[in-house]
Amino acid sequence: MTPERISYTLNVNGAEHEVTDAWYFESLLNVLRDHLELRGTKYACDGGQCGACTVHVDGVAVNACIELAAHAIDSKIVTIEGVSGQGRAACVQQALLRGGDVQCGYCMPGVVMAATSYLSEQPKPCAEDIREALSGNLCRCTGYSKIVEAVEAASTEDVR
Amino acid sequence: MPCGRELMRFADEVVEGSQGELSTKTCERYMKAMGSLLLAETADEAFQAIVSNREYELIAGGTTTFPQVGPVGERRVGLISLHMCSELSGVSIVDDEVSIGAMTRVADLLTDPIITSGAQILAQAARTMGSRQVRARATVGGNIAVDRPDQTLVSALLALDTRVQLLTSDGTSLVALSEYLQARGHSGGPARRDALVTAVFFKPTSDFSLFTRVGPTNGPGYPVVSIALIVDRGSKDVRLALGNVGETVFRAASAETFARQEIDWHNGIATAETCAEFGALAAADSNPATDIAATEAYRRHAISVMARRALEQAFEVETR
Repeated sequence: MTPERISYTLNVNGAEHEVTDAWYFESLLNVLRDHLELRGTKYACDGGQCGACTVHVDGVAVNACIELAAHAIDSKIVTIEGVSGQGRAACVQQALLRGGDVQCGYCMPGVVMAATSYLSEQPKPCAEDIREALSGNLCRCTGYSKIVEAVEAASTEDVR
Repeated sequence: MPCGRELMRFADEVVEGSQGELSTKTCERYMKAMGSLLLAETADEAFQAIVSNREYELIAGGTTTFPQVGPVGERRVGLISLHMCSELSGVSIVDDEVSIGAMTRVADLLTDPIITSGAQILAQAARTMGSRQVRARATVGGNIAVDRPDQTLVSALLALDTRVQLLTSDGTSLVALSEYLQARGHSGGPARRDALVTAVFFKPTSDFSLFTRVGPTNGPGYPVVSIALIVDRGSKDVRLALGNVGETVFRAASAETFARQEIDWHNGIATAETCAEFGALAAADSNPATDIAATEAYRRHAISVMARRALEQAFEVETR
């Protein structure tokens, strides 16, 4: 193994994953998708601008495309696969479905991750705050009104 | 420990013998390393790594570095990360000044009580910077050290009369942010390699302060232009910093001097004419470029309007 290739362990969705022969400069997005085959986290702008790759690192929503994977050693990473259908994320997903907010759906994992993280900090936000909080998540199909309405609706539901 | 621990050989150190003669000895220190990735745990380690590996890239939050990274496996020399330098993170009061560690995340500026009470202008600027995801990673030090004229926090920090703490081979020193920006040069390249930004210091203020910007969208994105204005009625001072209308962020000296002289400090009045001239002088102080985001004329016009409105707001002048 050259010095440019490194191996380490990442905690993703509650399980330890061995990452072997990764490029030392590799982004968390690449490691999740290409090494660990967790492809729910989407590849899009690759520059931290669109939010499609949003994941949680120690509970904080970050863009995986501009996160050094090696920085996430010793952290708890949660991807869309880890939250889908559970807790507040389930409320967000159901509200998005009910509202007919999903067209191509490519941005939706990032929207769900960003919204879930935001609602954990601000359980009862207003529409304006939601709009600002999701300003880092771009959707090129639906527009944003329905997404904002869905997140607002999800915030009023009891989490099971 | 998941990281390998690797012996790193640092620069030779000059030592003085018992007879006063000078010689060198090779210093060997341990530092956490994973192949070509060096993970500094202290500012001292980071600085040693920088001077010993001048061709390595330095990464703090990564929000500026990563968008420039090429495809996986692209040949690069190496990387020094400040991610584990926890001693460089945090906001505190030191000798009546606000101290912000270089690795403090921009998101923390929005909630830290020292910032929200004593440096609202910095919180205002932070709120406009990137998205929540970006703010969670971007750092104060990175915003200063990366050579771009449109870095969001720098104009607010300049208006606050910020001093930058640098770690160099001579130890720790404080320099005015304006001096640091000038000395850094305008190569468009990465941070300078002979100094590590470790913290910033400024006096807290409850005076009128306003950061505003024109951006490509209401949401995330680098500002097309930005201004930061602080009006200190106690010391009859006006500080106006302009972003992205020059090779680096700078203070609008002509506009500031004019305002200090023309404002009726005793009665707390700035006339509409004074505010208009303030804006015009700020535009004249500017030296903007034309690029894909805006023309030079647009930027100059935006500065004149934003500076005028900011001073009008400071003195509650009726807007036209």
